Amino acid sequence: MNNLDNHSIMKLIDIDKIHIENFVLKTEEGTKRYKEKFYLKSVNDRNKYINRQINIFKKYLNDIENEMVERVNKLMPINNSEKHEKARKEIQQLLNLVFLNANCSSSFKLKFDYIIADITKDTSLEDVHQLIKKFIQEFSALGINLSINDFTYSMFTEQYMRPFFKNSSFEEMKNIFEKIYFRCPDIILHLKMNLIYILERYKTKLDKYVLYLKKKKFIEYGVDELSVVKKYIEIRLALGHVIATDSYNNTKLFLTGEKKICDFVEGSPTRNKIYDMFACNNNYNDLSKEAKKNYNSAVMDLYVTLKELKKYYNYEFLLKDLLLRYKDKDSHKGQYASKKKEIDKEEKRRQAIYKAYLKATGKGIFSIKNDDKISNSMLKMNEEIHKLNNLYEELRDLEITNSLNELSESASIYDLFTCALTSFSFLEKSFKNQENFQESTIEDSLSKYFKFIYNPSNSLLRKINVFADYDIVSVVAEKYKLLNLTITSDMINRDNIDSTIDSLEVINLIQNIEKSSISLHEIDILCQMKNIIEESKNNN
Amino acid sequence: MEQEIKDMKELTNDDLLNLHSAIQEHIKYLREQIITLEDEKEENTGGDSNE
Repeated sequence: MNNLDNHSIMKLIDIDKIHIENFVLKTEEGTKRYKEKFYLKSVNDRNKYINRQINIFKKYLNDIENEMVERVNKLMPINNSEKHEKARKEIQQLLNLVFLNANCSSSFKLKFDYIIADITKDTSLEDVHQLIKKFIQEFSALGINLSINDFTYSMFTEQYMRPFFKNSSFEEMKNIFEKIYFRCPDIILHLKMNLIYILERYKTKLDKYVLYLKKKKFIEYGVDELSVVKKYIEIRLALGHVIATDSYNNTKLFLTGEKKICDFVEGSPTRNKIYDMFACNNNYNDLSKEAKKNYNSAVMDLYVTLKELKKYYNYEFLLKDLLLRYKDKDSHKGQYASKKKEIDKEEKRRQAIYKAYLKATGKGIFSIKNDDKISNSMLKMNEEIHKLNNLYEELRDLEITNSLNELSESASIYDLFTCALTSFSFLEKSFKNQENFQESTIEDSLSKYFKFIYNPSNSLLRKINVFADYDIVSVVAEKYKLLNLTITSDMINRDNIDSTIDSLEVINLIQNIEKSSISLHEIDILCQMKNIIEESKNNN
Repeated sequence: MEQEIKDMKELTNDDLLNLHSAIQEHIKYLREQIITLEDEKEENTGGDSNE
């Protein structure tokens, strides 16, 4: 007999049943009427007794539910979300430092490239207006106050920006835009190229600012160029572990119904099936204690690797493009430098057109206004900017190929992904053309890409040589087969990786809970008690 | 009643859950034990008149 059988309420239940069964409802004595009266009275007495007992037991039920509320409050782990959020922000700050230290341009690091990338032929005038405003404000924050003199890329940019600097309202700017538009339908392109030109013009100042910022922040965080990535990875790994084994977060998964506790508790058919799936001979329980220990460790490692592999699939299109460019790089040797020279020549031509225009407007000593020359300069400027735009496009396309020349034959997949950071335009174009990323902004996509590159768990990418003819899927599958797991290339290919990760996630969660301060059994108790409390609330 | 509550506090979580379901079962049993008399049945078509 266990404790519960001895409990006073359980005893009351037993007594109650006996008492009810012992009620005499019928008598053999007396007349028929007496017998009927006897029966009616006995039934009424018995019913009265039962109703009284129902109320008593309902009261017990209510007491138990109150006790459950107390126990749920005691059992429920502490919510550390705020603490985690604070740590996450600190890690983001460190990641920003990693980015400041990365091999990419200052305009990319200071996010000017994002502003320019947002200006396309489909951008509304109002958005263009706001983006230019933002660009000027961001420059001002760095101590560089842009003026109308910085917006003389063409006569049209000057005409548009002069009222802009006089704080004209957007309505006024719209009228000015319409006037310019008939003479220069590419005014948005002119403005965009003007911003690019400003970045080039202030490149040295921007580089100096980044260097100053980097030094300042490095001192603040106690890191240097060599240790910043290492520190970021260490802290991110540590926080990742803390969050993964956080009792509150894990308990919430079950309390909110996101996960079903019945699939996780020991002996559950779902749990057994998943553990068997990856075990050699497909039977986890047949494994020795030592083999189970090895299995648990290998399976955790596999889970992390597959999460990494899944992200790798997302970015594989970049790798394929970069490899093609790498193979073809010799045929483009020297092209980047000659393209730059060509651009410099055309930029001078553009400036000459602008000077001729100013002269034709009557500005300057001995200049007389000449309408024909004004129109001629405008036409020439439109053509020149078109030409320059094409040349810049070609230069941007060569930029990444130029960076690939720096890669050694022993470069890893990680090295190639990192190399892509040297060209914002390559990344911008690649992500914009990729269907999977079209829903997100370029800033979001690149921020995720950056996190992926510096993911603490991407050891696989750091180890595999990018130029060797390896099939990464087979490499992963073979590695874990050697660790005695049942895993095939089919299970982790693009089509099946999600379901394999889902299965591994169950084992991963079980292992994380086992390492935490709450057990699966306690979570099960919490879920049951919470359900009872909720149901009782709904019934009352 | 006080003794029962005291006993209840000493139960393990599992036993508390089991006790809860045992009481629910018992209340269900009690409700089934209520006898509805014929004349009450006629007065109350359908519902459980004793509750």
